[in-house]
Amino acid sequence: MTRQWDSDDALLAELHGATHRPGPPADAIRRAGHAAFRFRTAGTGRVIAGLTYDSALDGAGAVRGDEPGGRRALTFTAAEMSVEVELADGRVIGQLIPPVAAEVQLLTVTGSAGESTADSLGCFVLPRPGSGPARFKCVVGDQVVYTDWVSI
Amino acid sequence: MGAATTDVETLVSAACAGDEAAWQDLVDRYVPLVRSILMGFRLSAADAEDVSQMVWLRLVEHLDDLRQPRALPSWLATTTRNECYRLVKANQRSTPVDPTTGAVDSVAADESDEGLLARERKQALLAALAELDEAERGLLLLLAADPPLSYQEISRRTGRPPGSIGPTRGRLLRKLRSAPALRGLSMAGDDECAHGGERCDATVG
Repeated sequence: MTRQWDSDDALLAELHGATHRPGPPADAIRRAGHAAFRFRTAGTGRVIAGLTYDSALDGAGAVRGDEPGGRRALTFTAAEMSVEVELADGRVIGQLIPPVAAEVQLLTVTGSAGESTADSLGCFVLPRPGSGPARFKCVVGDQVVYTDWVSI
Repeated sequence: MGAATTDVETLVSAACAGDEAAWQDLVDRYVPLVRSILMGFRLSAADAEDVSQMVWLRLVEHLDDLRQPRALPSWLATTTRNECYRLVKANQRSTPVDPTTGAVDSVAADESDEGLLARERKQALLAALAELDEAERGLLLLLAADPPLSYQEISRRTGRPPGSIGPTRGRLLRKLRSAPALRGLSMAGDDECAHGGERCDATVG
């Protein structure tokens, strides 16, 4: 496949085509990238639960799922725990699996948007913040589970 | 960071250890790749910025899983594409459409018209570009300008002697061709999920 790139001129032309098309400004993408660094978490006991299911990425079903008054379901998975969340009208309903009592915080890029305590069944309810990036922080003993950011 | 010899793997390790300059260098290297995927979805500038913000926010937390050189561009491409799909779907929902015309489908005019092969080639090329440092990338993009710039003009812009530009051009193109992203292009599908098994399978739209 790289054979067509044996010609220097063809390779440079393709490079030009890939980088000089009109599109979103590179500067804005770069700025967003640089700014993301301050949201990096670290430390012992810190675990990232990755997004493993998002009903908004589903087929036909999701078209209805995120309508006003509708619901969007998300699952975040780490080795020891998963976080299942439903975004409903005005609130966020979640459950930690396996069920465990925990302090749960909903974070946005401007800070905490709400805190709750997961009960012995792992269930929690939080107010739904305005649209934008959000993530959950669950403190279970000395472990801190952060979910992936999602756009809500 | 930013020394001419710094490779992506080193930058990832340094950023994981808290080096913000290394992170910024990484971002700068992969902006063209992220941007090329965004372009395929014809998003507004504001939507494109929102998607890129989400991609970087996730990346900065997943860096530790992406230390293998080939894992990073695949992860970026998949994550960016998924966020674009989600946004296109969300926009469809908020756009009044006549269901009998199917007009809503035009909003989803995504990368399909480009062709999978062309798309993979372009992304591999941009992933290879990311393995060059800033000065090398800058020079290569000047050399790729269309209409072409004279070596005198490139010399004026970069401060390099005109006589050095021809040989450097050859060296940079060889370096680009030997980048893992281009050498492994025929196996591009194999490591799509190299960053962590099911997570990627489950989020592919």
